[in-house]
Amino acid sequence: MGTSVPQVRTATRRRTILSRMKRERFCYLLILPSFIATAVFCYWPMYGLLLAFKDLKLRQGILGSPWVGLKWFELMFQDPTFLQAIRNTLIISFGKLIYGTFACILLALLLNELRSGIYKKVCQTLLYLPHFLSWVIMASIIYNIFTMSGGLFTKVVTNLFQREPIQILANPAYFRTLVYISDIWKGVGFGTIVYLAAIAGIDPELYEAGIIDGASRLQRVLFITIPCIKGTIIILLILSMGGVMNAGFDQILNLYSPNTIEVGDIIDTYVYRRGVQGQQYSYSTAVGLFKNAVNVLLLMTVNYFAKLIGEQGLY
Amino acid sequence: MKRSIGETVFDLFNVLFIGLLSIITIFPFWNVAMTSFVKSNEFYTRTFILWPREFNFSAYYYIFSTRWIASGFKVSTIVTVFGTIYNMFLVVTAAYGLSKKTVPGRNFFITYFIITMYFGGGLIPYYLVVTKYLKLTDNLLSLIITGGLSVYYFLILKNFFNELPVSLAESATIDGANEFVILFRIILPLSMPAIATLLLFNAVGYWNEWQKALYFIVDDYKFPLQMILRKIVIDPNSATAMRAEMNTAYQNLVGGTDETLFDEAVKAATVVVVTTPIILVYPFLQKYFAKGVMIGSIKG
Repeated sequence: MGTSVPQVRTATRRRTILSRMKRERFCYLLILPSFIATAVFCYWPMYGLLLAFKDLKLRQGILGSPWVGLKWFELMFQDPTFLQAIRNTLIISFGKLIYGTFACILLALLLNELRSGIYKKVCQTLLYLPHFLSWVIMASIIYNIFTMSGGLFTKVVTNLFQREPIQILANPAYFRTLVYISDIWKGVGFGTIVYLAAIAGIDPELYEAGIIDGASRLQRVLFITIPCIKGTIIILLILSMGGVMNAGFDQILNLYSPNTIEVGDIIDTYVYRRGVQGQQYSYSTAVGLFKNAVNVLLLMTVNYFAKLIGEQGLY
Repeated sequence: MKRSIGETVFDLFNVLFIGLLSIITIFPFWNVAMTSFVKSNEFYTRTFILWPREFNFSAYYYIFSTRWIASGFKVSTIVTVFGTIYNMFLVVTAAYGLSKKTVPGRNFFITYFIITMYFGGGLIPYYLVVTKYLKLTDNLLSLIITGGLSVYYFLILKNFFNELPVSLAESATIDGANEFVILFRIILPLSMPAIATLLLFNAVGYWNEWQKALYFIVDDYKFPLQMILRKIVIDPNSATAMRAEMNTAYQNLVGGTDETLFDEAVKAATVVVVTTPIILVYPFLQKYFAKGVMIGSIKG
């Protein structure tokens, strides 16, 4: 053994902060790589937010570029494409939220009624798979199905139903529906996990009491299961509200096309087109900042309401 | 308890319905796989292709002979392996370093990381940092190290470390071990399930990643597989070197009328090639993720 006094934690109160820091110096070493990585790739870009109020001249860098105050923000709200993007973002977000939550809960309830066994496990395995594949893969499969030249959907419509082929891809009329359905296809299986866990947490005695009282299976689901997971449903809904400004950048970027910009363009894709492709750096930074700010406000509001109804919040 | 007729009917329908749903979920994948294995006449005439009448591997011969599948595979593998190592290194070190409650400034650091989950500079400043300041355009590093700490995984692992009994580390310290030894000899072996879970999720994430390549990579032959797939199927008009190569190859091999090699089959074969690694890994994912999701999502 080393010194005669073992390093007992209870004596920390008497030690100064500096000596504690010295003792835990290895921990600081451990934190250092992450600290630096986060500083470079998360905080440095935050400094770049200044661009939202400047007009970036690349040669002069961020500091040297002239200030323009709120010019970009004024411009933003005069751009009909941007306003359209806000509209689409909100519509698509809420649509996915409502349809998706409904589908997940319904599927979770049905899965719960299945007897445990191999069949159930196999089905769940199949249902979870799309969650692990990228949207590039999912979109490619969607193209394969809906393509006008030989796609499965097209063949079914023309051969089985004897009708004219219907164009789904690049068709503004069906775009949002495509987004909702593909989102459910990809996410419903995995989404049931949280609800299944909540259902599994319900006290079996409640069900027994229900059976004794003569409740049918349907009544047990309606009056025991659903009320018991009500808390989970609400908290998940509320937390999802915090992400309403992100309507699924990955998905939309892979599914949309020039024809469907009108109905499908969301704020993130707008920023991408203007910023990365169009190289309007300052302007799109401003748009991004606007979205971020709204996001933060939403999250704080959402967190407040979550705590208000007695659930643990985000932070 | 006696089951009523209604219940039995419901059970039957439920079993069938969920089975149908599972099949519908998988069938598009199957359809793509079938597309890759048939000749064009079969593809255009048969509505439902459950099994090819005639197996045709031309699409696969073709794409494996191209430069871009080979390069895509190489790039994706490099990025996945090194990216996962890098990411896990960050997550494990930060999670362990901040799991001990006796570290001064602990809350400051945790908040420092958590803030990045909710607020950031947005796409454009991030893009500018990587391309203009770090000058990582067309560099594979831009796919591996750009991103900071994965705070979500960090929190999960930190909580996991917190659950381990403190006495373990304490008794080791009393025995004279320093932090290094504690971390490697005691904590890590105990945390293998959690770390394995995060490692798998991380690897899948890197394999599926394509947006960074979209922003930062210009050279067709430095694209990961996901970008290659995107260029072939979703965004064919913007591919330059690759598309030109494909068109000439079609003409050379095909004369434009070959039944064995056609566009949809090539696209489908690419999808199959890109998806297969994930499917191979999927059983292992399955084994871990039910527990993994529990660690993370259920609070309190």
